Amino acid sequence: MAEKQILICDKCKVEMEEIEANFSYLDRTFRHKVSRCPQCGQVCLSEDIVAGRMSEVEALIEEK
Amino acid sequence: MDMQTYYDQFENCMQEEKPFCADDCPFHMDVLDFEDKIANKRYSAAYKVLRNAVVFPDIVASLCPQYCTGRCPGKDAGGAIQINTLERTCLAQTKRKDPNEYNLPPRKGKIAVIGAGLSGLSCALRLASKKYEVAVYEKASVIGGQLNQLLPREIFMTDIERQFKYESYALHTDTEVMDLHQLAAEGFDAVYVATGQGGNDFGVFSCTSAADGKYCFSIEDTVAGIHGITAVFAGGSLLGKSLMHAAADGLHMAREIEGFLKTGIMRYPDVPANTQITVSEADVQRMAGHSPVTPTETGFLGGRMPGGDGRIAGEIVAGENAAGGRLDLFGDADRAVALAERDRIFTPEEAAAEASRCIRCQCNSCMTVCDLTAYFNKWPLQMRDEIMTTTMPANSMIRKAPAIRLINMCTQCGLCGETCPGQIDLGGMIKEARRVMHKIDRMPGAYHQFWVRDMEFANGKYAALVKCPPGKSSCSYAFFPGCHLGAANPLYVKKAYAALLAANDDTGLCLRCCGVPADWAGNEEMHDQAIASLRADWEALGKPVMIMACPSCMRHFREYLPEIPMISLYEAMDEQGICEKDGVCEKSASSSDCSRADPIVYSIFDPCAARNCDGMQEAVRHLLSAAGTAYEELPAGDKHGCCGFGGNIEVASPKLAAKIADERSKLHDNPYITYCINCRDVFHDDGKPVRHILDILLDIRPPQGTLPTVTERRCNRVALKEDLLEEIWGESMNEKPEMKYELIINPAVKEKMNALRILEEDICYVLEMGEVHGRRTFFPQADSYKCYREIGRITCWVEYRPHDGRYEICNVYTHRMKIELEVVFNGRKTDLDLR
Repeated sequence: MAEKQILICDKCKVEMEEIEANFSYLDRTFRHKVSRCPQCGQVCLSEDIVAGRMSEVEALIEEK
Repeated sequence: MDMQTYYDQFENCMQEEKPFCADDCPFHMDVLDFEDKIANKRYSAAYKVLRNAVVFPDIVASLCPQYCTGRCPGKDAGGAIQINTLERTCLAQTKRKDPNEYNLPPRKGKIAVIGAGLSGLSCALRLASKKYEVAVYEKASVIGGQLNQLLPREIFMTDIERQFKYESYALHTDTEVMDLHQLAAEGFDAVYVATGQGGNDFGVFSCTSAADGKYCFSIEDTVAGIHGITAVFAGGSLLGKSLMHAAADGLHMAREIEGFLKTGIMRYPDVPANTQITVSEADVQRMAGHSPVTPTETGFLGGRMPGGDGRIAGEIVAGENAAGGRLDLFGDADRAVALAERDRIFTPEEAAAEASRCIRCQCNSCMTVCDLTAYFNKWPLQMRDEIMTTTMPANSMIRKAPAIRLINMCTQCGLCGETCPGQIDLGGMIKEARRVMHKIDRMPGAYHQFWVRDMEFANGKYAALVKCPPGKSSCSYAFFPGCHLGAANPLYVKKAYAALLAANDDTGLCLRCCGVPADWAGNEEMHDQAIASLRADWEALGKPVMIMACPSCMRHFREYLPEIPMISLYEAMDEQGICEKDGVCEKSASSSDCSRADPIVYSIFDPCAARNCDGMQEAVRHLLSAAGTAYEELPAGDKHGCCGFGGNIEVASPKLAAKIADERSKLHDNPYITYCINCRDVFHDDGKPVRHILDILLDIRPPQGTLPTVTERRCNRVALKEDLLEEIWGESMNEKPEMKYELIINPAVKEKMNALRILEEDICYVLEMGEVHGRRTFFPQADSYKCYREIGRITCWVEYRPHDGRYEICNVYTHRMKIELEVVFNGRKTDLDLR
């Protein structure tokens, strides 16, 4: 596991934290902890999440 | 057609038709299921299938003359499947043959069976096992009827006693029933008359009352003041049936009697063998490749049954002779030999091999031609049900949508409908399902978004060009190259149009998309608009004959714009002598021959949209011959599915698209020649040597290495329009698409963008979010920024580094899920406008 990357919200100039965010797809909604700016709520998703768990869930919903 | 009409078409589906063997079997045993279990050496399970079908498995396996082999396709391929030997093997191998004991409550209903032959006993056992009250009357002193003449008593009695082990019934031997009213008086609800050949029919043959059915009638009686109806059914050898059919009759009548007890309806089941299935020659050939297995073991009668094999076989012969040849079970063959054969069984390996020879006669026309059914290994009836569920209105109680992806994985090649013996148009149903899904907003936006946007671009101001030839306000012909031909290489369109113009200067140009992406996306509204604007363009050109380069556009026109007269580009080139005529084709003008010798032999891959288009196919072949190109036909001609491009399935299932491309590539080792640019691109991407026919006819260099990216394809379209305007009409193009940012993209990222179908224009759109709105994340370690923006229904992430006004794109990725930001986050109002 690579060391934890520091992410800075460029708008608020503060470090991002792991905060829950809402996602929706085909009439279904989910909550998941992702990197978010604690001030403005801006979300940053890594490619690992997008290509991994997220695409799995997408594929799952498309066949449900 | 609406979904229900497509659904109704499935009444013709033969998926559930019985195979020949089960159809001809008097018991209609599920032979395929039985064979499956034998092949897997699951003898107990196989035994249950056999026993449930015939009730007395030992007796039936000893005497059945194998009606199942009558129409077995194996007869013409070495030999029919030896199902009877498999049954005997099963009986010899099954360790526990006793029935199960079930503690069920007794059922209301009292049934009398007259005659304790195989038919009567089968009926009695079936009803007794369902816990009805059963009484059997036999005028002789022993039960068994004809069995007494056919089998040693110990054999059939063992089976009868074993199967009746846990069932109770009243047996009255030496009791001849003379009058049915006597039984009615005793309170029987139903009577089964199985008195055997020449037995008392109690008038069932002469029942004529309209209320009565064939071979059944009712007696009304009043017993002790209670009025009752007793139903009388007849069956078995009394009706002149052979022993096995008589036994089966007993079981069929047991079902009818039960039906009568529940509903009061009487009928005699007359189910003629009527299966509609057909077997393909290829399947029969496959079967011929495996010769019948010769059983090497003995022991069905000798091992498991009491007594030694020789003795029993001898007794059977004696018994049959005693029967005076009444039952011609074994034909005219030497009976002793035939019966000795009955003792032979397979070893487990032999049985598995023999069961595996079966080609499982079932209608599988769609399964063999359709890429989708084969990929999911789903039978059409299951697909139908899943598709119907998925297209249920959004407000219905059903929230399940199991076929979202499946519906978007059909290439719309139309082969299923063409080959289905029941004319079921599964492809049509899927297309309609896409429309419904779009309407009820169940269509994943990502599936078709790129293609629909691509269509809009092709029909937009930068790429579309609809013009009469220079100096004219209408034309009698117009070239319709389709939007992909010029995107792949503008030269195709430029050279072909120049050649057409040279051959006939009354040829206009209609450069745009045919609208099929909207149709494939199920977006009816957008599709209707596209068709209307196409019609308007055609009318503006003076209703010319359209010269079509793309078979897919042509098929689409035929379906939605039947009023537009069309001819394929290849027929036009052939008719007008383009390529053969000096001065028309550049190459022929200079080198005086269109018959350049090309040592390669090609196979012609007819695009699926050109299937059955004889004129176009002939023209292509004629043009190739004239050009001196050696070609061969594919083994199945044009009877193959799509190359994998059709239906725009690649986003929904890249795996299936790749699999289809790979399979089509392997139809022949020769390099292909095709006349659909999409087929050309798909095969090229798959590594298959392929040429578009225009490469040869117009002397265009086929692509080397990778094909143009999605961005380059758009640039090609713009360049094509610009060049044509200038070269043919002497006009200049004023408006051109411009990039907002200057991008630096390395080849790896470029390739990734291409695979994700992300345009450079899209990247600029996303960058705007970071650069103008400041919504970006900074990575101190990599000194890079990351930002995202929704492009239609997908969310695109871009990681980049600014370099003096230029932007280096480090990474790109997308997802379909939507990020739902809160209006108020952490007590502050946030900016939700990401579009």
